[in-house]
Amino acid sequence: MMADVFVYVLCGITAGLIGGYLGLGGGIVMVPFLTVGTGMDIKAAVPVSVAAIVVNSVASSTEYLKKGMVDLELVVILAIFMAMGNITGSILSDYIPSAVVRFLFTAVLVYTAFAFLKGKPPDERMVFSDNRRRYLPMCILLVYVAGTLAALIGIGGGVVIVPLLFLVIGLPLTTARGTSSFMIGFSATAATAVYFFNGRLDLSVAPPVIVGIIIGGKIGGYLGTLAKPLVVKTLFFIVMLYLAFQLAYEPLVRLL
Amino acid sequence: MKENGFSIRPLIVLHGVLWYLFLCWFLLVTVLCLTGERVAGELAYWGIILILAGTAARLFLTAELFRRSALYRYWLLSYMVLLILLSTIILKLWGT
Repeated sequence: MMADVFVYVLCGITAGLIGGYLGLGGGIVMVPFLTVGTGMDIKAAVPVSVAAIVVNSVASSTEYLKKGMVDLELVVILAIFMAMGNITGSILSDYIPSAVVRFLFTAVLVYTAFAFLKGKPPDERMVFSDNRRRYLPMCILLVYVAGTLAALIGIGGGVVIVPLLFLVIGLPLTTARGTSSFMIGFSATAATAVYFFNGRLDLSVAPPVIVGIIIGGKIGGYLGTLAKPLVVKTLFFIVMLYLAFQLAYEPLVRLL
Repeated sequence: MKENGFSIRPLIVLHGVLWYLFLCWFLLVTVLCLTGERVAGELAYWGIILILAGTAARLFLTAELFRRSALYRYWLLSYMVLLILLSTIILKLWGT
């Protein structure tokens, strides 16, 4: 029992550190950690992970907020379309085969990973408010699609939001991570409530994971505000390719 | 936002309070779980409710900060986010 609790806390700390640093929820770390590391069933791991993402959003975005690295105007606009995308995704999940969605999302991730690593020249990033006026409708559409795809495969969507804010809107990388970190807590809250009221959230596992993520998220968020763009880009590239591999592996094995 | 006198200080304070509250609450639940206290389950249940209420408080405060700075469009949009989240929960729980 003691060892289990220690593993859960460690899982939370790791997810919080990585998630807070990169402006993600941490679900892509938590779910594999809980399923592989503790042998937990994925159907039990996902609700725990989603609840912890909400807490991570509070813990890590505080550090970004303190340094003025959260664009609240974008948060409220994009959160609406993200939530609408999530609703669409949950409706479409009955009609679209999961393998198709997984391949589609893999393609999006691989393309985004390389585009993100390549980035934009610094002079273009300096005029982000002009980009916002010009590209906001496109960004809204892409956030809606990202929300739909995220709901179809059951992730928070931070892994798409950060590159989108950086590459399309042209926000500085730190502000993109701070904004994403603040925003993902909202869509994760809806999912947490649904799992919780359906009795699918394991109340013996969630507390130690939350303790871990609240500590890890705070440290990750603080380190994230000091991070060098090249380090963030490289880590993001690895995370996106890792997620792409995870998504494509199972349907590929079934096909071959 | 700065030109409208928009201040995020209350939001930072709320986040700080929520951070300490979540940490203390779930640390207590974890310790009670380890000692086998039956009340741990009850406290964990209310802890999750606290997390959900925390998100509502964050959105509510964001909306009111926009209103205080006369950014009425964003004030309405913030409440719309809250409404959409609530609708999503209701739809998924009691919908078809």
